[in-house]
Amino acid sequence: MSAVAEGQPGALDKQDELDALSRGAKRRVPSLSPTQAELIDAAIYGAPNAQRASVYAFADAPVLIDVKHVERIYNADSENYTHALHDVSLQVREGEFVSLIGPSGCGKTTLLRLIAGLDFPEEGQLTVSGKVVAGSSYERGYVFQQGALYPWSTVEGNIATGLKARGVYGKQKHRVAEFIEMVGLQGFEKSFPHEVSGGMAQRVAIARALINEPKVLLLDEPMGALDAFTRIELQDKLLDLWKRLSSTMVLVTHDVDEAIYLSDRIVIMTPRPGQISETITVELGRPRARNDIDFIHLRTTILEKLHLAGEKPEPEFRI
Amino acid sequence: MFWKPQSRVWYAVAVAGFGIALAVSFFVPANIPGFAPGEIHSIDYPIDPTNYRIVLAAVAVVMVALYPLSYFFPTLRKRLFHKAQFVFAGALTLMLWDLLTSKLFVLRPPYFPGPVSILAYIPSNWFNLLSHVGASSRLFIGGLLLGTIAGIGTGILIGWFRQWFYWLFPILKFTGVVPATAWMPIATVLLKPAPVAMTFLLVIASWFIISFMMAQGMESTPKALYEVSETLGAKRSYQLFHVAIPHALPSIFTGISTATAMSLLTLVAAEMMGATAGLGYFINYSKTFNKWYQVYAAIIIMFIAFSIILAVIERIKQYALRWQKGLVS
Repeated sequence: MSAVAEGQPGALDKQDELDALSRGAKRRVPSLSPTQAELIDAAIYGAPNAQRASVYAFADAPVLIDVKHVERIYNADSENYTHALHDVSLQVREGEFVSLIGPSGCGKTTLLRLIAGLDFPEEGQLTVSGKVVAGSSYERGYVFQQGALYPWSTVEGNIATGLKARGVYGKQKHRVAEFIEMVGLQGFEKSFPHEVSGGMAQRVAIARALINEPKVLLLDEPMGALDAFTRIELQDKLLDLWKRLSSTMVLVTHDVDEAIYLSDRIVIMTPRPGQISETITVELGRPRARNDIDFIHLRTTILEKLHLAGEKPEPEFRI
Repeated sequence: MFWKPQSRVWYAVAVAGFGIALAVSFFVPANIPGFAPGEIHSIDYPIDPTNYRIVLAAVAVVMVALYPLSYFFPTLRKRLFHKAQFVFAGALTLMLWDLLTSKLFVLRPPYFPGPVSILAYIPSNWFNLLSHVGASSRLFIGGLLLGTIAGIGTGILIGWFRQWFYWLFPILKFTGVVPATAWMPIATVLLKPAPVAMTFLLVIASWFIISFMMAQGMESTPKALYEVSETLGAKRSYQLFHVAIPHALPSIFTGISTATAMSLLTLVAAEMMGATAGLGYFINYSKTFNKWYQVYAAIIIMFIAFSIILAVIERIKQYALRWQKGLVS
């Protein structure tokens, strides 16, 4: 969090200030710098999270997804091309929960689609468990923004799609009921997608992707269209599934809280061209509380990195 | 849904309407021009009013009987009251029709037969009429079924394979632009016996629109639905049968509805031109012998028969698209 301190009024040399005052300048009231704020918080609430022992548990886990220097340019041969991804490299380790966050147009969905094999890079290489991604596979489950459920198929039918498509439905029929129970949709088996709520529909989409036991679940803003209450509920459900199936998940989101609440690492991306600006390890123990001081600190940091923090009000007096 | 005044007054008025029509039938003398009332004269159309009166009385009796029953079925009661004004208007129309034709001869036979003539004719010749209904229905169902199968088949081919689209679509477009009836002379000369020719015309009439709608329904499938199935491990064939075709289902039924209308049109026209049975043929035949009451009777029978066919198709549609219930109104 030290990166923010530079150039802040609080970091001004004390001697300069005194000199200025001796020349008759009016005493200026600096705002509290994050560093100072941190020190105050540390005094009140204990040491900030960064100084605690690391809780990141995946440092030694094998690399599952390896993205190496990927370039993706839409309409590369036309004049109005879009440079969607520039020199993107990322490693996701087995069992990890990684979030891609950034403003729209930063290429986070493009990156997810490349990992899924729904799109291909102009340059660079993507491997999943050592194999080059050459197309989509059921080993990389994908949850779409609006769920993309089959409207003509029931909840049960949608969840069973993967088994049927792979021709293993006959043998693994029982797993459909298992997954319906896992996402808490008992009693809605025979409902059609438009008959269930938005949150339920996304749970169907998640169960549908998970029933194939993918190596990684890729989630493209699955909670973007949900209201705040449903979103929080679904986040907990997702964590529950993540733990229960000990799967790897990569989530695209524009919700900072969501990213912090769920992830082990947060990848911050910036647009034009889309690239990774920073990767933050979330050193918070689980379960996480959204009103925890460390949580709020981390949110402030990320918002500032995304230039979303906004102007702080000037304090009325100094302590 | 039932927004008309829920008043028993209108219901009573409707029943009374049939009473008035009955009274007109009984008490207004037939004023045949050139003849004194009651004088015997030679006519070549049925004038026995018994059946007409039975129908009027039956409707009135049923309505009176339904009234106490409606206390136990609230929806039925609402529906009856909602429809009362229309039923009353129907009774008045019958009365007026009877009055203008059989009674006052303002509209003259044989071109304007009264309800008396039509209703006297139908029951006494029901077997004959039914055989024509049978002939028409057989042709229609056969033609539409073949046209639907052919249409869905070509729809899948042109909607899924580029090569098929390239070669087949222009031909399809040609048959779609030219009305099926234009083929009639060629078909009747080249294809024997006549039912084969007419089935061919019906297939032509329904083939284009069904395959066109099918292909369009498949092509409009959102990309995400294909991608989802891809990430779930689906192959191309699975995507065809479990994504593209289900997505095209509402379009197919739009196509079938349009094809039904076109087929009925073609059927009647074709029967009038070159058939020896069927309602279209019967209308044409009756016209030749100046038996216009038979023409009207055939039209009424046609309405009933075709309504049943359309209702059956609607039922099939509702079953096939039950997942849409509540999604679209």
